[in-house]
Amino acid sequence: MTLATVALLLLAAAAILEVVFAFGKAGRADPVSPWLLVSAAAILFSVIAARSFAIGIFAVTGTFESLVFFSGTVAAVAAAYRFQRRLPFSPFVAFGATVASAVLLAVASSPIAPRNLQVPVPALRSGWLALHVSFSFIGESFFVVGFVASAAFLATKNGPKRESLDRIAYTAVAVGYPIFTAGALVFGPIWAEAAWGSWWSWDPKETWALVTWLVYTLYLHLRLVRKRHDALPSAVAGLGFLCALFTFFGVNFLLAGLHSYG
Amino acid sequence: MRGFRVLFGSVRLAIALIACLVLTGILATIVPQGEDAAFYLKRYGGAAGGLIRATGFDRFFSSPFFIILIALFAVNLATCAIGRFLRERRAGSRRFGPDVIHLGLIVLLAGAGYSAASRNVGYLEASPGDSLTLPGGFVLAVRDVSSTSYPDGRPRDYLTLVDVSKDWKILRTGYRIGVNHPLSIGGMSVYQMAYAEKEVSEDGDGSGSGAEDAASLAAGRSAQAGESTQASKASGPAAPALAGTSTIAVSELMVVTDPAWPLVFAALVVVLFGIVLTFARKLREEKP
Repeated sequence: MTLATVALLLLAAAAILEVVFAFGKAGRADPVSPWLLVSAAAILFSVIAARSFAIGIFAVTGTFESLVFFSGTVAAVAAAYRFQRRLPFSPFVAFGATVASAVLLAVASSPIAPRNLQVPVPALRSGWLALHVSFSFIGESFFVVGFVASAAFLATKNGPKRESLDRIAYTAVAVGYPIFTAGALVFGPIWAEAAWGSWWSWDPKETWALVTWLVYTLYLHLRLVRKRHDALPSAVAGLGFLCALFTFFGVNFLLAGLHSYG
Repeated sequence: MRGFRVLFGSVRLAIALIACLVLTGILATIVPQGEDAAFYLKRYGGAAGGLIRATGFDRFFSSPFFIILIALFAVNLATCAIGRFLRERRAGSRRFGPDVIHLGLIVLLAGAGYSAASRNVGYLEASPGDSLTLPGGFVLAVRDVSSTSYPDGRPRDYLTLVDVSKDWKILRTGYRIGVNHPLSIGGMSVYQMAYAEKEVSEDGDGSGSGAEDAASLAAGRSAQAGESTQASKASGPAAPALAGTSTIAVSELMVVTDPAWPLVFAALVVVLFGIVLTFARKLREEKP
């Protein structure tokens, strides 16, 4: 059994516990699943550390490693949400984030993400790789929580519940947006200038990262003009996460560009 | 003046413009960019292909439509930023994070426009012994061109070892231009773009007779046509001939001048600083 499989089992156990407690009489949060999430994240990060050690550079250069790292950061963010005390607890958000982490890890085990460890091409041998990729994925991990909270917002008509979910979604985006900006749209262009001699090339990955950023910018501005938080900002936050997913999966598999490395 | 402020300083206009940028940006990644007219007519048919060409969607990010959209966005940003700054100052508020973001974005857009207008790119081939003259009278004496590999044979890095001089005065010796490690000199940057091994005939002239090694790999992007700098090359001798031919290592170097890059870099840092300032404050103010 591989370490990634152990992490997947821990995530599955956390999700089951969250469901059982959500439908339990008290409806309170279980005390065990946050620790299962932390353990899963630690295992996934150790997988990345071992592969990084083997190739001598931060191993997020392939689809498998990227998905493992993304899954680990989502698990870590889900655990952080469970441990914090400022935001209201939502069983659906906790469960949704845990499932998202497990799904990413399951995709990493699929044929679209070959496991063989490949050494990076010359263009990827840079210290900027770690900053660019890790910040982008950490930002997107907060967008996962924002997406789940927004989906729950759209699914419920309960006023107080909606208010709580809106606050969770906004806080997740407010934390993820600066981190994503730093990773995708600041560190990325700085690296591109050093590697390609052009800080922006309208490559499909760059354009979709900008589209993702603009959609979240739209979300933040919509919240300014719509004082009563209705469905539109939540729908836009959901769309933002779908754009982030397309930036990763869609562009990698459908649109060729400068970010395609064989 | 008040009408202008109301129209262009509106958050609703900002929302509409951002939505427009999102939709057109997505479309521009779906429609292949930079192809010739026949490609669009064949792929999308007469009407749609003609529409793509007429609206500039074949080269969207340099089309008048996109430039007008960005110009409107810049005016909207500036008007919003000034209005907001004045309102906040009157109210005695210290929430200047959004103003910093807006200012950074305006500088970024200005920098991007300046970069598009002033950036210059040229390409050079370099072999050991070559002497490459760059704009401004800088000379690169190529001492060595090499590649390093991983144990499995895959390329690890491509390197061009050069001495830099100007007016017979040596400025740098033994500088290694590598992928992700450009040479910066006199407002120019010299990038290692690709590496190849070429077979040349005994007379040492690689032109025409050489076949590129099939294993040679581009380090970054392929060469773009139609761009040049005033760089020139004096060829050095080829490696000793074996049975009528010899193999020489050739680097493709890209020479870039972009006077706007420092402005763009500063703008990116300002935008990031503004975003962190804004959301750190907002999150601190969130009720527990």
